[in-house]
Amino acid sequence: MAQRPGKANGVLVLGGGITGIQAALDLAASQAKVYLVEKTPSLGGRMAQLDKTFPTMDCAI
Amino acid sequence: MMDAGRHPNIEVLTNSELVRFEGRAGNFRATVKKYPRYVDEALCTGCGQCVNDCPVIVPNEFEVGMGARKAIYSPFPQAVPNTYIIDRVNCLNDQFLVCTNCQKSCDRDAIRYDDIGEEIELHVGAVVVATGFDVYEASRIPSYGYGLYHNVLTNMELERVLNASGPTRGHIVRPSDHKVPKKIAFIQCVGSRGEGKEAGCEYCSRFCCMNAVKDCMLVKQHEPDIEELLLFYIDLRAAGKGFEEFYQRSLDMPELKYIRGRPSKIMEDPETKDIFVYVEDVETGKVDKIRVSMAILSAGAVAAAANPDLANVLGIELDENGFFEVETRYGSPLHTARQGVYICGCAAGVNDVSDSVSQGSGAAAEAEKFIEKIPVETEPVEIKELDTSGPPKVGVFLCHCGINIAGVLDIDSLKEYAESIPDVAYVENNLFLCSDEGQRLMQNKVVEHGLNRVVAAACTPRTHEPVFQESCEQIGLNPYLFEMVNVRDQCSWVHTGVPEIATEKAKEMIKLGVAKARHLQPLYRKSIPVNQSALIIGGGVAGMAAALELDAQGMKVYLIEKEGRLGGRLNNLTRVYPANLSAFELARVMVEKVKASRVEAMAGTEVTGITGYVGNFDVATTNGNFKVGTIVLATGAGIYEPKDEFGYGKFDNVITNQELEDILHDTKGKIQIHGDTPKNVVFIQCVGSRDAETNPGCSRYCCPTTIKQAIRLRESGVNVTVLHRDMRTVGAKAEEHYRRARELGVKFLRYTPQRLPLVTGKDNRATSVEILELALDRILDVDTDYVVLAAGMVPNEASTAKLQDILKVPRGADGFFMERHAKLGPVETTSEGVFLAGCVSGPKDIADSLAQGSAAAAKVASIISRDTVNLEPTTCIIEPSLCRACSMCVDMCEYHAPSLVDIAPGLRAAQINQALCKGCGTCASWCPTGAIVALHFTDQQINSMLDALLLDRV
Amino acid sequence: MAVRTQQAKKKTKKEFIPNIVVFACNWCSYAGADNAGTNRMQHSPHFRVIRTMCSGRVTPGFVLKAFKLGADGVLVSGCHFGDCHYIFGNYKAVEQFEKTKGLVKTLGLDLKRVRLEWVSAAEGVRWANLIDEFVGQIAELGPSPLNHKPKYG
Repeated sequence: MAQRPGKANGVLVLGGGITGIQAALDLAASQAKVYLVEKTPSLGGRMAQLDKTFPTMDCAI
Repeated sequence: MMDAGRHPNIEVLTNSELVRFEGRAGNFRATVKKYPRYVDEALCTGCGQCVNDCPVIVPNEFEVGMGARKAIYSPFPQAVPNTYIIDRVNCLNDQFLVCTNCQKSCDRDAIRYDDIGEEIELHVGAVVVATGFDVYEASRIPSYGYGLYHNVLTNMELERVLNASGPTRGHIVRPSDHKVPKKIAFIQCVGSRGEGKEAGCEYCSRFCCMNAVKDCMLVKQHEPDIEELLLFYIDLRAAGKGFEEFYQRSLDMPELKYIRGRPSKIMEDPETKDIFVYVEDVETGKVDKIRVSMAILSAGAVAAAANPDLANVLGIELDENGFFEVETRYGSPLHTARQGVYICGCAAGVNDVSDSVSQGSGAAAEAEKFIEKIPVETEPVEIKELDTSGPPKVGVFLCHCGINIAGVLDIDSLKEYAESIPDVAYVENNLFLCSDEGQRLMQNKVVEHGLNRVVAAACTPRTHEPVFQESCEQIGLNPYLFEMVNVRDQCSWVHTGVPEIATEKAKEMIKLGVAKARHLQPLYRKSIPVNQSALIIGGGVAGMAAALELDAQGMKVYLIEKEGRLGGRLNNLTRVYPANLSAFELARVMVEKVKASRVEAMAGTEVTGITGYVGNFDVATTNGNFKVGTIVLATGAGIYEPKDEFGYGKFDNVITNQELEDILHDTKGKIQIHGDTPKNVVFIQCVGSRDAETNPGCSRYCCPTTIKQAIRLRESGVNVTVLHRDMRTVGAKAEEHYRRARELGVKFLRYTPQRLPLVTGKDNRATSVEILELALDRILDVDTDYVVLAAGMVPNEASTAKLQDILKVPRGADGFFMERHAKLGPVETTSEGVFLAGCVSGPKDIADSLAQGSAAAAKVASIISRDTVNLEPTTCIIEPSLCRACSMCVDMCEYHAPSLVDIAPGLRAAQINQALCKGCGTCASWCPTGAIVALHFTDQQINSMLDALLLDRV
Repeated sequence: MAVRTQQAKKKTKKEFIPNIVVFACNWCSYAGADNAGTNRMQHSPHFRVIRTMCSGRVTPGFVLKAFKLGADGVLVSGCHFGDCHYIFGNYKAVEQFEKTKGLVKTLGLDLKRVRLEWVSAAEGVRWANLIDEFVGQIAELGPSPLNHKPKYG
């Protein structure tokens, strides 16, 4: 990591579930450098385990 | 998920944990420990060959233990990253055992038994905590027998059973005998809303009611012969946009019976393994023992077990339930006590998916204030574009994907065939075409042989097309001259047993790809300049929150409010739950912050017209015109005005909850209504909510509001009775307040829409309310000095209709603005650059509105923090000479991309705004003259595929 | 599914192999077909997929051309209602399909040869079953009267 003086340009997002992914994508879209840290071997979180979501019955993945 | 894995600005660190954290907002130093994966992420292609050779079989956590996996595995088929991982606890390669099967089977040599992981030092400006929740251990309630009885499952297990790729391939069977169950019981509030010694948590887990309703519908879809579904509940909490309507739809299912009552215990019939549910139906008072084939426990959400450690590392506090403590001073649910550390989703308490997504975006906006945005350097290398104007010279590249393709399809035969296709100038095959060396090979051959079209016969374009396109771009080949043929997912994987037929099919698929490739045209991504400013319509909490976030990020903001002053609904409230903040103070602080900022706030101003598209909107208002790049709609909602329900209008002392709020506001704490101190007050819930005629949806805010007001009255010695249909106290601390109200002696009685409470009185004063007490089956008369009607939240018809007309953003059946996606895009609309915040898209409380304000700010920032927006070139265009201006495309497009313009004096034709077009091609399909060309999916391309397929068959 | 294809292999008598064109939308049905692959859901190989971005893109002309050139069956598959990536594209597909059916009838073809279905990105099983069922149906109907080179194998 290059150590810059002053403000950092990175944001640490803890948790790779739907909420963390959303935060990471929005940050990245605004040109922030994002470190998305997830404890398990894959992103996805709980949502990936669901079959469908209410009320529109979209598939969860 | 895939997007996050591919984004150049996102570094995904899985199997990792934060271990050290120091510094201050804007300048934190974080240490992340990356645990060993034992498989090299750079080399593994996720082909899965190793899994076949691994001898160890263990239960699969992802399938909640119901399925099996190997010791080397991918957590689930769509995992990101798709690198495999070795579970060294179960692996047979350690100090004593020497299995090296996976290493031997790996063609890429990616196995690293000696991997020790690493620690990574990061310099970050802010932290977003989105660590989620754990599922309540249902076995902690012994009387429900989870883990003891075969046919008692949790809701999470049912989700996997229902899933087509789950352990039972989507078939619902009883674990005891693998037969389809006839009767299923769903038991709600397992571990939630706990009381007594088998308590669980006191709060409501919020999503389980809707999840159970959804599962009932899915069960019926999967097993149409199911006889009975019984759902045991306390209150059916369908509190969210579209939820009530969804619940109402479920009432039409004859198999589904809702029973109000919390089962006391569950027993198993030792012979048949059927389940007995012991329950008192609180509506009839009948105690029953009901036999079902299977029971599903709706296990609630609890704070993640890892929270204390993480709180410790981050230096933040936990609340009494073990979730991260919210700093409530700002009213927003996203703040912690430590500046620069934000929480969202289920890390701070239970939220459903759409609220979590809003909060994720909101936390992103908060975090953005503390960082310096540095555009990620895109290589300024000038790439000379290859000349592709000549006749097609197609290169076909065949991928083996290890044995995934080559193990089934005869690659030599495919190669020979591909070489025989006209216009194919070169054919090559490779073990893993998507690997770096595979891509380099492709690049070299394109240059070497002067190829001008490329076809890859490999896996699915949905994941890998961008990889190949990028490689094409690097050598100056237009990425839209590339075509992908999916011979893995849609051929070798699904026709494994018939390799000859599959090979023949793959040949035809390649022929189709070449046929399309012949007619591919170079397309160029366009970029349009962005006006780096935002217009926020509506100066309530959501609008002000969005404005302040954007201002803090240094963006130009116009905030306009129709009324004479900012503050919106906050101006009419006294206290704001859950933290009992003063609404007046919250409004004052926010308005002052706005005034002190550079936000151009204009009260008493209305929008009169908006034209343009993302990045370039022209706005006309009653207070001047200006240009902006993005727009946020935060105009809030209206409150239902009762007509003559429950004696409203007839009796002076029947008032709405807002009128009570005004009274509480004016009397500054003393409870006096028109000079009298009331003795008895009756609340009636769901007035103008959950009613097909007035408002089909649940207004969500009114139950917690009634609780707040009831507690206030009760604390002053007033007798309070609340008449309700279900108490829907969802949201932070709402259930706890509900409990407190009961402890204080507030009475709660349930009514049904079939038998509404009757308000009676003399002259113009109501004196009592008649209600049918369901369990006693007796009419009760409740004396009352005041009747308070909890009026629902409805769209603000005049202003929403006007904005819909101006902006062409669609509204749902409920009259509220429609989100891009109910779950995944709660603050976006189908119009790019136009966002929603707060009650404009449906009823919300103050905290949720604030979170959405921040979320909308994050979305706005993602557009206006850049000077340009890039447009995908796969849009539709119009050939003006063929267009006869019939306006069919203009009328049908949901995005309002086509419009009629004068192309010459007296000559009109349709034109498609490239910034608005999404490229679905539906207009091209409808155009009667064939004037519309759906780029990359043109008539010519599709027709040539049909010709190739049907005219000269293999 | 797998069983059926194996049976087909065993039979010595030559069976009619239908020639079926499937139009699948990028976001749901094509992804559903991929999902069948990810889950290794074996199904009949006797169909060819043409990907479009939306089921609404499938003009009656494409279906008619397919039949004219001798296709024995055509399946158009999109997202379930409410799931469409383009909001209402699948509703537009329904309207187009009504026209298509009228034209197919005019050609004198059995309407069972053409079908509009919805398969979501998660419904690999549904995709596999749908394909097997549709291929079976077309095989039963036999070669299209416009198919001058029916294939047997």
